[in-house]
Amino acid sequence: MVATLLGLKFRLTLAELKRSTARLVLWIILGAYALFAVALALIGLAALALVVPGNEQIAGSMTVLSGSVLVLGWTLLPLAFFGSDQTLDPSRFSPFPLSGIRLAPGLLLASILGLPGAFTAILCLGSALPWTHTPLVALVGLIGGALGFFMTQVGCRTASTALSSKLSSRKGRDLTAVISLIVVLALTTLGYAASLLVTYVTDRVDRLDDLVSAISTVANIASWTPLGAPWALVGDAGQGEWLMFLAHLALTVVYLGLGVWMYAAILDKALVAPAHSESTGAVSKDDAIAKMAAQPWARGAMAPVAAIMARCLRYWRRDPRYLGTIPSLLIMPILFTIMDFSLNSIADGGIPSGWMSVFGIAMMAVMGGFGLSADIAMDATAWWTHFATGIKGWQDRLGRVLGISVWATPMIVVAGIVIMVIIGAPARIPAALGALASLYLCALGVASIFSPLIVYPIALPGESPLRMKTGMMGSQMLSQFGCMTASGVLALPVCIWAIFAHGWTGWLVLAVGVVWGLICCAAGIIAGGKVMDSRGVAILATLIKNDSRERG
Amino acid sequence: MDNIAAAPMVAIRGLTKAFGQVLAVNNLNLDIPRGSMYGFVGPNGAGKTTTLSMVTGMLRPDAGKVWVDGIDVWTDLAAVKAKVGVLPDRLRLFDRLSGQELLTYTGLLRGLDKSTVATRSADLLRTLGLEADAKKAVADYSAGMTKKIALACAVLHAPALLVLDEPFEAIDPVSARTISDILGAFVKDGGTVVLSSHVMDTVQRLCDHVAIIGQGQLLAAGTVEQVAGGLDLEERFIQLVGGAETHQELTWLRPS
Repeated sequence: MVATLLGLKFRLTLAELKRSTARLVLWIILGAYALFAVALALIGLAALALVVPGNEQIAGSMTVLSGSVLVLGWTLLPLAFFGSDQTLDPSRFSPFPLSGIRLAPGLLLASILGLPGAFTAILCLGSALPWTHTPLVALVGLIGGALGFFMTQVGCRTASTALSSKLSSRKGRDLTAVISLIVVLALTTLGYAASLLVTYVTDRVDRLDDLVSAISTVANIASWTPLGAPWALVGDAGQGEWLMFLAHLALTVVYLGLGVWMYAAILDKALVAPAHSESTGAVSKDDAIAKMAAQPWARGAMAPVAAIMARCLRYWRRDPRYLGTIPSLLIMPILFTIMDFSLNSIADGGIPSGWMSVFGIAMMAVMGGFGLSADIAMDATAWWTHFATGIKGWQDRLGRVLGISVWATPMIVVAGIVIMVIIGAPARIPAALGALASLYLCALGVASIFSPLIVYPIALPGESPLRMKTGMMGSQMLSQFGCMTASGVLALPVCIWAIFAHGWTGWLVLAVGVVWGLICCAAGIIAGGKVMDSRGVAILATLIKNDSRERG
Repeated sequence: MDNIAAAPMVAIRGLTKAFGQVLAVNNLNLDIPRGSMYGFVGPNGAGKTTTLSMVTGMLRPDAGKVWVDGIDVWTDLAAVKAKVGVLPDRLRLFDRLSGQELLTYTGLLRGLDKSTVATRSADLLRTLGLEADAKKAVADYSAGMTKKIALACAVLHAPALLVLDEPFEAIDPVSARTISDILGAFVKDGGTVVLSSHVMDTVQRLCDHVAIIGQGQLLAAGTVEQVAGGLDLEERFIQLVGGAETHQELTWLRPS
C-alpha cells in the first residue's frame, strides 16, 4: 500500500509538472528559490558545528525551538492554504475498501515527493549537521530529524483531513476561508509586532545570560510536547544526558503512535463521510434584488444597475473571497500607524510623525478602489448572465461601483477621521478626507477600466481566497501597478493641495476632492463600459479558460 | 433572406472553429426552420456545445456566418441577444443568490419591468416545482434543481429562440415531462427551440427535426423521420457515428 501510494503521488506530481510550461517554469523558480534557501540553511547548520562543542546546552535548546516552530508551522499550514493540495485527498479513496490505518503510513510518507515535503525533509535531516564532531550524536541527530519530519507530516495531514470534514458543507467552507484569512493576517501583524518587541527588548537587555536562560526554559517546556520531543534527542545525546534521551525517545514514539492512530481514525471518518452535505435554510428571507430595484431611483436603465449593486452587496457579505478584502484593507492603516509610532519611538527624526499613518489610509483608499479590478474575474463564468442579457457595460460598471461604495465609503471616512485624531491633527480632517475621496474615487474609475481589460486568473467561487493561481501574479501585478499609478497621478493635485491646505481651505479641498473624484470615476465607468461592450466575447473566453484550467 | 416568414430562424453557413490543433467545428451548414423543435445530437466532443455557443454569440467563430431571425449574429450581437434565451452547459450561475433572486436578477438585466419579473418568476418557480427552495442559495441546489433554475432564467424574457445545451441532464422524469410540455407549448405558439442531448429517446419523442454531428461535421439533418430513415433513431445514430464495439465480450463479467 505504501509503495502504491508513493507511486501514485509521484505520477501525480509528474503529471502536474507536465501540464503546462508556465507551471513548470513556476515550479523551477520556486524549486530553485527553495533549494537556495535550504542550501544556505545547511551551510549555516554545518558552520554551527564549529561552535557547538562547549555550547551543547544552548545548541540543543535552539534545535528544539526551531524544530517546534517547524512542526507548528506545518500543522497550521492547512488552515491557511486549505484545499490547495488535493492530490491524495483522502475522500478520493472512499470508493475503495480501505481502512484508515492501511492508508495512513503511505499518505504520510507520500508528501516527501512534493516540493515542500522534500525540502523540509532535507532540512530536518540537516539538523544533525552541527553535531558532526561526535559521530554517534550526529547519528542520533539524523534519527531525531527523521522522527521530527514524520511529526511535521502527522501534524499537517491530521489537521488538513480534520479540516476537510468541515469543508464538505458550503457554510463550513466559507467559515474556514474567513478564519484562515484572519489567521494569516493576525500572524503577519503578530510577526511584525513580535519583531518590534524583539528590537525593543534587545535594545534594553544587555545581559545575554537572561536571553539564554529564557530560551532554555521555553525549549525545556517544548521538549515535553509533541512539537519538540523528537528535536530534544540530539541535544540530550550531545550533553550525555542519556536518561533524558530515553525519556524523550519514549515520548516521541508515544506521540507519533498517538498521532498516526488519530490520523487513521480521522481518515476512517473521511473515507465514509458523504462527499457533499446538503445545507438547508434560506439565504435570504426577502428578495434582496427586488428590494433594491424597488428603490425610487432604480427606474428604466437604472433598474439593472440596482440589481447588480444588490448582487455585489450579497457577494461582499457572503463570499469569503470578497469578505477577505475587508480585513486586508483594514490592516493597512493599522500596520502603518504601528510602524509610524515605533519608528518615532526608536529613532526620533527621520520621517516626521504622522506621515506614515496618513500613507496607510491613503493606501487603504487606493486599494479599496482597486478591489473592483478583480470583480469580473471573481464572477468567473457566471458573468455570462451579464453578457447574454445584453446589458450595457456602464450598467455593469456602475452597479459594482455603487455596491462596493456602500461599505467602503464609511470605512474610509471613519478610518481617515480616527487616524487624523490619533496623530493629533484633527484640524486637518477635511483636507485629508478630500484627498482620500479623490484617491478612492479615482481608483474606482481606473479599476473600472482595468477590470474588463485585464481579466486575471483568481480563486474561483467556493475556493479559498488564499489560493494562488498560475499566471495570477504577473497580470495581477500589472493591473495593480497600472491602477495605482494612474489613480495616484489623477489624485495627485488634490493630495498636494491637501498637504498645504490650512484652516477653512481644508473644506475647499474636501469639496474639490469629491467633485474631481466623481468626475474621474464617471469617466472611468463610461470608458470601462465601452471596453466591456467591445471585449465581451473575449472576456467570456478568458473566464471560461480560467475556469476549465483548474477543472481539467 | 427576402421572405422573413419562410426564412429559417437560424441559418448557419460555413461555420468553423478550431481550438489549437483540434478542429472543433468544421465548415458546418444548417438551417433551423421557424417553429421547429430541433434536436442536436452527437457523441462527446462532437462540437455540439461549440456550435451552440457560436449561434448565441458567446463564442466567436474562426470562419463562417450565423443569422438568427435574419440578423447576422456578428454584426448586430445586441439585437440577437434580445431574441435568444440561452441555457449554457457548464457555465456557473451567481449561486450565492437564492433561486428567486437569480430570476429577479436575470429579469431585471433583461430589461423587464419589476411587476412582470415578479409574476413570471413566481409562475416559473411554481411550474418547475422550485417554490419550496426559492429562498435557498442556488449553490446549495442539486444538479437537477440548478438546471431547472437556469432554464427558468433562459425563458424568463419570452424569447423567439431558445438555445438549450443539455436541458434534460440530471433532470428527474417528472420535471423532464414538465419541461417537455413547456417547450412543446412554446413551439406550438411559433417559438423555436434548439436543444442538444445525449439521449436519443428524448430527441425522438420530443423533436420534429434533428441534426447529427460527429467530429465537428454535420452527418445528417432534417426531420426526425428523414434522418432515422425507417430505423430507430439510436440505431441510425450509431450507424452514422461509427458503431460501438460490443462484440468483444467480457467473458469474466459474471457475478462472483
